[in-house]
Amino acid sequence: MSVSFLLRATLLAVVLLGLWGVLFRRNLLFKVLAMDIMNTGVISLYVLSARRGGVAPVAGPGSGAFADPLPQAVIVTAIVIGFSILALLIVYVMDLSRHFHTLDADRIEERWRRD
Amino acid sequence: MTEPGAGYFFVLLFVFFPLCAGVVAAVTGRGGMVPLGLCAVLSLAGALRLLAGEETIRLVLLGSYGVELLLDRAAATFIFANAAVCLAVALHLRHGSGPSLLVPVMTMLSGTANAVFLSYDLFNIFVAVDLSTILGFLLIRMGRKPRQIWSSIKYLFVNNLGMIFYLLGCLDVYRHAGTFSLSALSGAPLSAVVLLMGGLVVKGGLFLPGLWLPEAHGEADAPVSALLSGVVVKIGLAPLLRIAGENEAARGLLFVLGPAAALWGVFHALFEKDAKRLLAYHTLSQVGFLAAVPSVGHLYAAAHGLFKSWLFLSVGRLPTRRIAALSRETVSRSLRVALVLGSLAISGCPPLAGFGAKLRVMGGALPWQEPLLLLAAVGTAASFAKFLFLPRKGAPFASEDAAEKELPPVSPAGGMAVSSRGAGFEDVWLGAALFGMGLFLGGFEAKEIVKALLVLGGGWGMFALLRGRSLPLSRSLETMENLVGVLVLFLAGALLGVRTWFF
Repeated sequence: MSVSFLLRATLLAVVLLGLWGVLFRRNLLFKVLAMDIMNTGVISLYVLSARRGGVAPVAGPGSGAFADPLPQAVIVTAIVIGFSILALLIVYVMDLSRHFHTLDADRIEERWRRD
Repeated sequence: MTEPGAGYFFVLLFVFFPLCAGVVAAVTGRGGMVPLGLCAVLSLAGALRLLAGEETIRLVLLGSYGVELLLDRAAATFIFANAAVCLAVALHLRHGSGPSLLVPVMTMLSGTANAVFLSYDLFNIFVAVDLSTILGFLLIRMGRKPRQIWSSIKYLFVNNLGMIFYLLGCLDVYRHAGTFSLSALSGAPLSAVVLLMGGLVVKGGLFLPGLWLPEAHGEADAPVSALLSGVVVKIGLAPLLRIAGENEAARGLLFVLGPAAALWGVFHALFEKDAKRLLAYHTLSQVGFLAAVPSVGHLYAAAHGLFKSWLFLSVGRLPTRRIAALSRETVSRSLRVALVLGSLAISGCPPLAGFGAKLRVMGGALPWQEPLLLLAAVGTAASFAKFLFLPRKGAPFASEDAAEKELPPVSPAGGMAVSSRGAGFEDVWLGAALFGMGLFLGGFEAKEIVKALLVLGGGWGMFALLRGRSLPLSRSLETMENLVGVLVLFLAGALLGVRTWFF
């Protein structure tokens, strides 16, 4: 079993763990954080799959051993987007809790229906 | 005009200019609806020029590994719809006083939508779609009511989750093909295609993962709902249609999802008593028509953008959103005309655009899809008969059913103050566009016209049968947890289904 395979399996487990949190945590704040964990797992998978030979482009000779720069370059955008969505969600979840006095998604839904 | 120079010019016009105009308007806080209207007029001219030119321009920005853009007829049609809806919304906002950020965010959203329609690159689509999700979120909660905040959080949460799955799919494609270009999709692994589609199906409001849509579209203010149904939904659908053009498994999945979504939306709309939620459920069902036949989906998208935004803008001017309570209110004649024309267009009455678009979809449908889509069309006519045969003023207000009382308190459907008045320029523009597009799509053969009239008649018959009945449909699938669960089940089910049918 190679290191790369182990790392990939671990990162997929992180993504699934995040999904579990999104599905089963009732607290809205934890749901949002679990979604961020999923996002981080996916981003790390990108970095891992760009690893290839595991040599930084300036460090060694030959072209095959270089890490692939493209996924690393594009994933920066996804990091920024994930960060901004996380920030927005947390701010508005706080706003929501001021109105409904709870962070429990089910209860908010219930009160929302009643209003 | 096939040289790349023209292509770059179009990209600047469609994407760069609206984004800049939006940012400038947001910073200076001036201009009213001018930035949105100006961008809409310019994109409209550009889109019509592209449509008239008939040629396809393929651009690769920044050399190899760069971003691929494709300016073809489908993209031009989507851009046309976007510009037409934005122009109508700008005309509608001419009198009203909305929040100061409303127009800048709408302008940026229109530019972002154009970026998605032009992209032929998976990662570029991801970036633009996510940007549009954030802008859509800001728009839904623009009215600052607590109800809107919860709907908008649900929207952002579910859409972002969908895009995480999409990102995983992108990685799969890249590992397989070494490029993010959509043209690499024909030989992409199945799991990648299903993950990509999962994200876009959520964004496009297609079938079950798109069930966040009725709530968000129903709660937002009228001009925002018009933009959401007219433009934002297409942001998810345009890439779906492109993926379906490249990949056989994706096409198969859309063939099944389309009719299912069309029937599901219509079934819910038939028993809906709230005017705005009725329209939102119809977006759910119209999106099904759009996806059922991917090769002509863009035409249906343009027609749907026109009539649905018109209906949302008109309903926003009604004094109440409870359809039964309209008998106690005065509805001005021009508003009645707008509602009737919009309802006829969505029901597929010739010579409006809905007729030609439905004809194209039916023409391209598979033999087993046709009866299902026909049934959905009859249901559409039946549920829009509610607007055609509005109870007369002074008619007794009969409301024995309990479902009626669960509706939110009677409030104007549009939160942003737009004074009650006669026909505005937006009505004239959308009506003219619907007629013009209907004439352009053509297909006025006696057989087809009789068929369309039969569908209308059947729908009105169904309306007469169902009048006054109610069916308490559960909305429990629309809670946040169930939305996420449905998305996960959808991904698993799609993977299983596609595997058994195709391989």
